[in-house]
Amino acid sequence: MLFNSVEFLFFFPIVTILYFILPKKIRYIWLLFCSYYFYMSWGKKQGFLLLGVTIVTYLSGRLLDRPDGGEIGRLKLRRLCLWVTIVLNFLLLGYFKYLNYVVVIANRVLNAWHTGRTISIAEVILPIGISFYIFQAIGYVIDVYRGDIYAEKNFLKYALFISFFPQLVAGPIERSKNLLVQMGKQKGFSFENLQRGLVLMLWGYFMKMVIADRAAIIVDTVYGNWSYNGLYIVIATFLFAVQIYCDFAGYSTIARGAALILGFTLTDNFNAPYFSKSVREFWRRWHISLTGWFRDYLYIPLGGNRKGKARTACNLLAVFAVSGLWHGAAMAYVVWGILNGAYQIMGSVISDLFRKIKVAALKEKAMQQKRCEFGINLLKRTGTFLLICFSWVFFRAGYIKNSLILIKNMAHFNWTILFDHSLYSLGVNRDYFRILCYAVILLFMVDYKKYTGVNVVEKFMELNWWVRLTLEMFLLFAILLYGCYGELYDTTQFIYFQF
Amino acid sequence: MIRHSLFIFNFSKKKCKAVFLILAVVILFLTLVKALNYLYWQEDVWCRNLWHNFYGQAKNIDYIYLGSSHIYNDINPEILDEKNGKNNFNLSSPYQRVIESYYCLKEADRRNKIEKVYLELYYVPSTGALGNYQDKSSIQNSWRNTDYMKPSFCKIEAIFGMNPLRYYPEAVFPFIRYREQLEEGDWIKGRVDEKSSENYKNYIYNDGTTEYRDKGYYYTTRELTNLLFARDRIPGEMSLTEDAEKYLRKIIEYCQEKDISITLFSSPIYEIQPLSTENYDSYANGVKEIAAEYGVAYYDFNLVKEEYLSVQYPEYYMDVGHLNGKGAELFTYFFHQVVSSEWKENKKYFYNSYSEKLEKSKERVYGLYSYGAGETELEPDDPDKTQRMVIASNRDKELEYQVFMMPDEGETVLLQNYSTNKQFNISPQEHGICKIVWRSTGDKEKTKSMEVRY
Repeated sequence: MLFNSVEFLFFFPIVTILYFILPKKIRYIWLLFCSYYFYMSWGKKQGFLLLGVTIVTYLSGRLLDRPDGGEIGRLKLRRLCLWVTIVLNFLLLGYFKYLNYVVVIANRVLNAWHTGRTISIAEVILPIGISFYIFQAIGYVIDVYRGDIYAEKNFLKYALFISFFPQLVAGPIERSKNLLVQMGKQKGFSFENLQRGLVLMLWGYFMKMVIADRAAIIVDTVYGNWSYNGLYIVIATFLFAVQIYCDFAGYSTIARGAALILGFTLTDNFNAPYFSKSVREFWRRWHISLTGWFRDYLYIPLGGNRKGKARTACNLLAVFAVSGLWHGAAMAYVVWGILNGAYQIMGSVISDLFRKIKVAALKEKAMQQKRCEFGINLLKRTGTFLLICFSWVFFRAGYIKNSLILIKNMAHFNWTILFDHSLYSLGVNRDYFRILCYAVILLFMVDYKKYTGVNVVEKFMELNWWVRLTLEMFLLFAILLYGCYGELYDTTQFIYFQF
Repeated sequence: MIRHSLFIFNFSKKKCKAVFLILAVVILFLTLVKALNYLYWQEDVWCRNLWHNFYGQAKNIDYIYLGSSHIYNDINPEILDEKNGKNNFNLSSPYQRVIESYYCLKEADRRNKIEKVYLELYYVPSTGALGNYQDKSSIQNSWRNTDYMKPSFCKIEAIFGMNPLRYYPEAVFPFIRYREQLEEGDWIKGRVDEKSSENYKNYIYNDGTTEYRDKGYYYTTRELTNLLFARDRIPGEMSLTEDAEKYLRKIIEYCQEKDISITLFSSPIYEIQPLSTENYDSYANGVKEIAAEYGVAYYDFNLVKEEYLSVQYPEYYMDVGHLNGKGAELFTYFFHQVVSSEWKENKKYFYNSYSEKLEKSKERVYGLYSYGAGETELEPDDPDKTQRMVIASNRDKELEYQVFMMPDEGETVLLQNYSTNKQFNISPQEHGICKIVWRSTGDKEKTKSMEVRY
């Protein structure tokens, strides 16, 4: 059941109405039931997997939290318990996500050695959202081990924390300190939450259905046909940057809105990432919950930036390589991750270099003049955006070989396509192309406000009721009229579901 | 005390504001939907008139006639009103599938005390010519009816029952179907002109030859002029689909449960069409079996003996499939005569099968029918001639045919000189007149002829 499916439009109101009708004490059980129903709409077996992960991590949490036992022995036992849980979960993730990739590599090696033997590929279906809920569960176990949080005693509440349907299949990867705590204090109905939640959901649907899915048509056309080159690839890559952002941020926004209506506050997973002035800043604003997870549970335990520059660089590369692998079992994702790590290392090196040659002083002077500041910031933002776009080529192409061909083909520039209507032959006609451009401009306007620290939803709620109503209707009818759904379009899955 | 009152006042004010906001959202939303429907929705004027008329008759309808366009062309309710003294109404729509008839019946029954249901089973939609019930073309057909049903649980049930989930938005909001025309001024102008016309406002349909008369009847003076038919079903397809059978059973069971009398029938179509299927009995027998299983009458007016209903002449048809006003009058009287008497007494009017009818009726040629693309076996010596034409006659061996082709560009060619062969190929790019002369193998002196434009 996708958020942008008609099923969800029936499912969510029914869940919400019954949730608030039921007595407070049993509401979480209703939500748990609905979450499993939601998840099992992709396949019943997947529900058992989710349940298995929940049971293992719940028991592990309880064991890690137990205060009695001998001091030294207990410490060793706790560590063993933690590692067993982590290994078990990663084995499960590895089996579903990476087994066939390993088999493919093994076959390549066997083939290179002319052994004449091959390993057959197993029929494994990747369960939806497995990377998200396994990471959330592991995060919980580590938090309990570290003593940052007490283990949840109520199994059903814990199960709801792992399976909470708005964020189950594509995040945000919630921390126990945020979401699990809220599971214990369920709130009553709030009209304010309803309004805020609906606005968030509308905006999320707008991002997904009007922008992401429309941009996807062009991106798929260009990336699916090797005859396109030059500006076609450049434009498709820019549009992919927009598509993946609107697809993922759209999902997260709908999730936040749905959760808010039910009285839960989820982490904002994106904070205007394309306005970042450096790649480092970009990663502080993009997929915030995953970046935070890797920072707290991998980067810092590896030593973070406390063990010298070389080690910091290695840590960064390692974390981003793992992050790439988290996205998919292919070398192209690893390259994408390493490229992003490398950007940050290069960024540090260059800024150190600038500092050394005392450019900083000159820069500071220049920064005092507003014009220069604007120009420099624009340059930084454009540079960051271009670097990120370049890395998206690897992400979208899926294979290194394909990515390199695309990059090579970019060189055949043909400016005329901007003026001879060729762009309208990529599956989106002139009218819809124009609408897409307007929608992207609107998106960037909203994001700029967000970047400057404005809480857009709160700002929106401060408007006059009739202005709000007009804007809400504008969004709703923009989705109805320009959204990709229904008879003419196949309901498009969210990109991050596959991760 | 004052504090307490103030609290109540504040609380109520907050609640009022919330209710007001929700109401404002709903009203604004509905207003915008209405405006967009006005600007973009290309309405089915026939069905619009029909449902408007239906709701105008609510609570008064006694006998309801469900089915495809054959009903609204072939059955004249005014004649039936006179004959049976009841209020008869044709609730039919183009290519109405059995599933649609089921929901139309429910809506009719909800708003009237229906005594009798006459369900027409045209073989084309019932054998899956529009695809199965989940196919796009099939679903779009259902909107003709649900678009004009008044808001009710029955309408919701019909939308849920006939549309897969992904089609719900289009089914509920018609303007969404025309999103591709969003910025086309000509389209919008066309719709506005259409909806501001007097005919539209007053629910009138009259194009000079066809007009909407009361109670779901379209009267036409048009006549079938060219006896050529492109066949729509092949022999292997001539059986009720699983979906059609399921809903046929549901309709019968619904009527029996509600104590409503139900009669199944097939309207007369010009002989070329059933002949073109080359397997009409397969369909008719399938329906007969189901009807017999439930003890329900089924009358196939394509099996009627000519001495009782002599309707197989072009002057009674507006096209191959539908009767015109003159034909409808003739048929409606006979229809009443049949359905108003006992089922067993009526057997005399009909042949037992279509093949029996062909065998026992007078030797005759009805016209030509063509095969669909891909059905034709190609002639190796002339690969351009990919269109198979078949002479539609009720005899296989007793008639001999002479075929002349008179193309628009070129000279007349004698394609076949008196032979029992009924099939020949032509080039689909070629157009002209085909003259068929035929004679009986027993009496070679007497010839008859017809000309068909191809």
